[in-house]
Amino acid sequence: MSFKDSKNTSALETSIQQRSGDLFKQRLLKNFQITDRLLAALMIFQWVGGIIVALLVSPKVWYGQISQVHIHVWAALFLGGLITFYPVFLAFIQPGKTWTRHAIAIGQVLMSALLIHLSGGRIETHFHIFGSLAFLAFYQDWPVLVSATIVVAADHWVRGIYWPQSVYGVLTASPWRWVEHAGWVIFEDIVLVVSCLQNIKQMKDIALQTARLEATNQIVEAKINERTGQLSKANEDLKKEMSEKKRMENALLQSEKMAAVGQLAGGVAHEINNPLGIILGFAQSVTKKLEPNNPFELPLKSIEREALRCKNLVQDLLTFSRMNKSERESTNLNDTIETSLSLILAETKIKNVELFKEFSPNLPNAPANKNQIQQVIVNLTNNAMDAMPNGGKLTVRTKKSLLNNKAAVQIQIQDTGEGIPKNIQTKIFEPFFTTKEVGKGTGLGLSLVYEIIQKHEGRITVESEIGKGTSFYIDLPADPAS
Amino acid sequence: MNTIIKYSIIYSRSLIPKTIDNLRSMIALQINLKGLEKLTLKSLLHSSFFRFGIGAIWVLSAVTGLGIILNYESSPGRANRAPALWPADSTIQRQARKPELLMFVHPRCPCSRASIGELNSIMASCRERADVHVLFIKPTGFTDEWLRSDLWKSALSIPGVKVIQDNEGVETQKFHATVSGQTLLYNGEGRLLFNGGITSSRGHYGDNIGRSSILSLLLTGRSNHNQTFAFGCSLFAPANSLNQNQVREAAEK
Repeated sequence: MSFKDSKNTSALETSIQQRSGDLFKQRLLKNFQITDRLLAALMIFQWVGGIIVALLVSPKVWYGQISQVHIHVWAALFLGGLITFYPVFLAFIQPGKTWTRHAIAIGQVLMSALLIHLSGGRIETHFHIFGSLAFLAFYQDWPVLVSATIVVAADHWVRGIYWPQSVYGVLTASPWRWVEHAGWVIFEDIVLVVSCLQNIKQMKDIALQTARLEATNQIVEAKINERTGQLSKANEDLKKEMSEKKRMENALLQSEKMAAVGQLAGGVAHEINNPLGIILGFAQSVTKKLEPNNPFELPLKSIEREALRCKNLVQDLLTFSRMNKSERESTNLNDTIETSLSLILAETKIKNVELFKEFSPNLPNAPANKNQIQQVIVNLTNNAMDAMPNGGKLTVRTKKSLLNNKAAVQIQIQDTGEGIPKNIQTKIFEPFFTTKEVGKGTGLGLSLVYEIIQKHEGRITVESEIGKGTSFYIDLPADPAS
Repeated sequence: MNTIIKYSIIYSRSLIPKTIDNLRSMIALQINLKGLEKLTLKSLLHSSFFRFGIGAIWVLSAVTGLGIILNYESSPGRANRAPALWPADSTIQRQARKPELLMFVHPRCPCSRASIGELNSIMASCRERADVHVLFIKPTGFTDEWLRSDLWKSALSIPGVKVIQDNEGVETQKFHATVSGQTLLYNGEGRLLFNGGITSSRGHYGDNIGRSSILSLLLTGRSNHNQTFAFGCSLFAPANSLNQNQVREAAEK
């Protein structure tokens, strides 16, 4: 056994001993209180019994033809009441107190003396004293028996001096005769005291066993809690790991998808761009040369408009395909965002959107491509405004954050729009996915944003609640040099 | 011896410090009487003053009460000197040359139950040695039912005892008996050997000088005592206290 184990065992044993002492005291107090009440009930019963005995045995004292109520009746009523009242009162207001049980012991012996008088000193009534001592032994507190015995001995001693015939039947008795009478009481006391001491020992043993059992239970419970905690933690770690793995798989899948789309889009855009330029050029030059109210004006304007739309789409596709070629430099994102927001300011007024800017003043720089970041901000703010057709609040925040436990910069774009349903929140970053009407969105905006952020080694997440609005969080690694 | 000393110390330790604390609290209470406004009934009831002070008064009151009872029970009745010779006018029939034991009893005296009990005890030892009569006094106006109390029945149940109804206490007065339970022993020649009670106090059973004296006289013809106190109700009401209305009411009851 090591020194630490030995120290722990010693502390445990001390704790068990302390608990055992507390349990013993509690049990003893409970026993005192129960016995107090039991003996209080007995004393009331004795009092009533004494009155009945007096009324039956000696109701009247006679002087020839005339009679009076016998003094025994008054004694049973008032003296019995006096002897009973105080201990019974204490038993109910201060149960368990030392003085209460000694008062009960004294009262019980005084009641014995009264009952012996009321019964005419019958030897049978003397058994009341022995019975009372047995009842008092219920306390398991031997000093109580001593108090009772002292009162019995004192009663015999005083009566032996002043009224010897009342106790010994003779006018003169040896001054030590009370010792003989007290001796018989002590004889019973010895048996009861031994019994009390044995019971106390048993109570102590039981308290110790209970304390040991409680300690064992506590140790077992603590071990179970510890093991349960470890299992819970392992379970949590496993869940986190699985979640991270899932996220990485999704990101990889998304990235591969983007790469494939980008490659395809790049090729297609390149092939379409030249014929589209020719279509647009000719449509514009022919339109300029037309006379006013020419019937071809409307079709030509339509060709020009749709060609421009195609050009924008192609431009997006080309941007998508050229993402790898972007160059990054240490950028103050607050400035970049400010520039981006100035582009949409006019539109916010038209659409009745209030714009709030909450920029962190100590924001570190981030290695970024300014144009691409501007594109991200413009795309997200445009989407936000589209989500608030009846106006609302658009808030753009920046602050320091952590990304994979490294310093980062966070951009939050929050609107008070319609919100995105849960079931499509996972699809919004996919290419060509759109909830807008046909002709209003290409479905490449958010996938472009996603791609740009991925290329910047950042992270984009979305939180949305139907009817309350949507928040996009973009975390970009901070420039270590800043 | 060591064990006795050990447990005496434990007992003292369990009670004496509390007693000292109680005394100290009482003194403190006396000193702090100026702060009476802080004293509530609840605090008083739970105070050491209540526990100990009232406890002391309680013990003293109970002991005083028991003392009064004891004093009453030890107070003998006023017995007159009995005739030294058997009264010639007595109608009680004596057996020739046989000691005569007489007991005078009030039929309703609760104290005389013990006297009848002691007589029973004497009869158990000396049944053949004396002719025994128990005279129950029956005042004027009282019924036979009143007379035939449990005492009458007890006396009647003792083998060898003759129970006599003494109307208006005529026979009782011839022997100058005044206290219920008073017992007289005359020898075969009609000479008084013993006069007194055969209980140690009012209504108390047990060893007593009267019983042992009579037993001794009957068994050996000698005794150190020939007179004892008699404990019991008065066989006759004091003349000055006798009120006819009271008598009639008592008889009716």
